[in-house]
Amino acid sequence: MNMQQNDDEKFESFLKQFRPREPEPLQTKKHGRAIRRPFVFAAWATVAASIVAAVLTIQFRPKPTHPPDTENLTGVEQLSNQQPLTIGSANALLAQAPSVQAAVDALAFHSQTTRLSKGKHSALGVLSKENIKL
Amino acid sequence: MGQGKFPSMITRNSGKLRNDEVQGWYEQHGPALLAYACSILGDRGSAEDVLQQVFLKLLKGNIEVPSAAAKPYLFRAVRNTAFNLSRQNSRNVALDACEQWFTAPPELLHWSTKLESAILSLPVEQSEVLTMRIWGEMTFDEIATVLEVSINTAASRYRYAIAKLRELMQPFEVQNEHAAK
Repeated sequence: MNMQQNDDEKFESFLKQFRPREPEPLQTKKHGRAIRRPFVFAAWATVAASIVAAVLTIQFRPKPTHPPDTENLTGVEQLSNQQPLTIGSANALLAQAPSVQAAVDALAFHSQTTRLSKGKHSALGVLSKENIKL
Repeated sequence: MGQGKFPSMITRNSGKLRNDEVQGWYEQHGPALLAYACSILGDRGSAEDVLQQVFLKLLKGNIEVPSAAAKPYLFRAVRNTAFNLSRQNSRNVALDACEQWFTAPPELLHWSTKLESAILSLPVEQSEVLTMRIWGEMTFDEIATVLEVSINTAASRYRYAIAKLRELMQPFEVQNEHAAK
């Protein structure tokens, strides 16, 4: 029992080597000092994040590109030239074309978007010219 | 504030506490009160706010506290304010190195955070008795007054706290003994 008591006393004196730190000086002039509530920090963080997001959006907003060779094309030609054929683009063609026939023609004969350089031939073109004997 | 056993020793009257008296208490008991609030809240920033609230109330309010009862009264006031605040915030706040609430001799300084963690891992009713007893240098009678429990309850909570803390701090205690040799 006595040994236990001695050990406890030793441990107490060990703990007393750690001293509590001094608090901040008493804010006697600023009555009603603002409490550091987490939501205040959260609000500031939200505002800061919004500003950063706005700046980044303005900075990296994609600029509209106008390819020079498509400027003079009609709406139907532009659609048929620039976009792959999808249901969406077909709908757009139908909406913009003067007639259904014109839209179907544009879909059927829409021009090749990738132009081959001089001296190169498309595989489909070459095959279509071959005389295949069965 | 001013409930339970306290109405007998704390009265509200027309005479305010003198500012220098309150300032003196702040300087004398501030560190222990800060550690006590930290042991409840686990966050030094919030503990500082609690201290400021309590002492500003003393400076503004018409409260008379006899000097002999000042320490238990202050601990009680800090306790009530800290528990009110902890109802809003979580007690388990990550310890930040710059937010330490203990200092120690250089050879033990790096164990301060461990001690803080160990105290926070105790049940609050044990850690608060421990803090009041070790760093507040209060008697079990005073502690019992603050907590509104019997002296035996206060003493038994303290024994449990010491036993648990010894278990948690054993490697550091051994190291300290080696350092002392």
